[in-house]
Amino acid sequence: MKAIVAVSKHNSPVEAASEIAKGLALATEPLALVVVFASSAYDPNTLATELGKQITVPFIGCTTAGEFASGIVLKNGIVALGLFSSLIRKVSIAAVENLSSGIELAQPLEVLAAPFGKPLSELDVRKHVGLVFVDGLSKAEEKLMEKLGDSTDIIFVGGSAGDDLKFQATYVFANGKAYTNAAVLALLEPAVPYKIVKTQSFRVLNQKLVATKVNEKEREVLEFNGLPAAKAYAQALGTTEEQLPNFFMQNPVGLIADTEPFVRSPQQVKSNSVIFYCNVLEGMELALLDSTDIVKDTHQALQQVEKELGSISAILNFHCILRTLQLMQTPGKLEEYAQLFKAYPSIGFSTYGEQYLGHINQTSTMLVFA
Amino acid sequence: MVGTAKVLIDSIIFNRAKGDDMVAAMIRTKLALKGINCTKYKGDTPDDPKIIERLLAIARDFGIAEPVMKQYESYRRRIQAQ
Repeated sequence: MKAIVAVSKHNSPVEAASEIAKGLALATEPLALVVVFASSAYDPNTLATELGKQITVPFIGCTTAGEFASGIVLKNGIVALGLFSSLIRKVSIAAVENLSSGIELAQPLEVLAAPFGKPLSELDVRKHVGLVFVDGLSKAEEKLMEKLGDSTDIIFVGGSAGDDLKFQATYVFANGKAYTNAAVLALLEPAVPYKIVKTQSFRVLNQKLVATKVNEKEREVLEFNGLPAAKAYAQALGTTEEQLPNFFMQNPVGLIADTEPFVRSPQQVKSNSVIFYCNVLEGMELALLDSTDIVKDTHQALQQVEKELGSISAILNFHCILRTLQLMQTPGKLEEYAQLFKAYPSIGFSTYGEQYLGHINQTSTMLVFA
Repeated sequence: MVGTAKVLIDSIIFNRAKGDDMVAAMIRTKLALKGINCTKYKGDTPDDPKIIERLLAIARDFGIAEPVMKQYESYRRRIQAQ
């Protein structure tokens, strides 16, 4: 065993933190890092402070729109994964604050690099991996990921913090502190092989939508193919503009890069525009997507990664809230999805978007350790 | 002129990936997410000043402006001499 899962459904942040600490204390080896996902029902500052008092190793995490732990679906709970030092050789953590004032990464990247003795640009991209959790209401994920990707080719994966669909405030945690309007980063040197899995359940259709006019800041597409965006999107689907929002979950669009779709999920129609959950840039050619079976596809992805790694000792799963909502449309389906992870020490959360090279939607993006 | 975008894309990938195929694939994805579809630009694609400026800005952001600029200037001189 190289990782341990702790869960609490206690509604007091003090008691919940204590329960998590007790669960982690059962670890049979020293911990190198703890990752925590917590409901927004907890007061974030109290929770972070209490966790900081009770967890004596570096910890990182965020608030959620629902949690998962080794086969269990939680609501208003807290889940933690303690990664043993036999799994993680070295770790560093840094916060990126004041996202709304512009993203300054120089200092946080220096903090991340310090224990490794050289800048990120000089570290082996095959032996290091990053975690990233971002305020899910900041709309800063694209810029953050772009700047991170400009600075280093080490892959950072993670999710946008949630707040149980209240859309009021989301928080990220690091070492005893809760931050909003911020991101937290961790740089890991795993001691075991690992893989990043990005799985989405869509087939790529032939219809193409080229964003010909956008308002990038607001994640708004004004025109596709030179037509009002809603009209062109509806035409591609063979439906009406009035009916279009009913198709959003089943038929988002994808930027195809090296045959891999990077899903951009539409949120709403505003006048004749379409607002997305992540950026669509002017000139981007997007393919229409059609939903397939999330449980079946995720099962296949897990089987594949287990085959590649030989065994799985821990999983961190960043699972889009839209997938959670889609699964909840069929009774028992969300639980069926969660059960796929029962055999593994794993935690996950329903995100407001996932991070993998960029900001993406409607995936399960996972960091899987052998 | 034609083909400058392809020259710049190849140069960005070459200078950033340094022969590592995994990193090269990652750079192509990063370019796609920045709005540059690498497969769209061929040797005979007419130059678009907006795309060329964008690619030069990406080279600066990637910290490889100098070698990319050298290859860009060299390509321009070669084409103009023809």
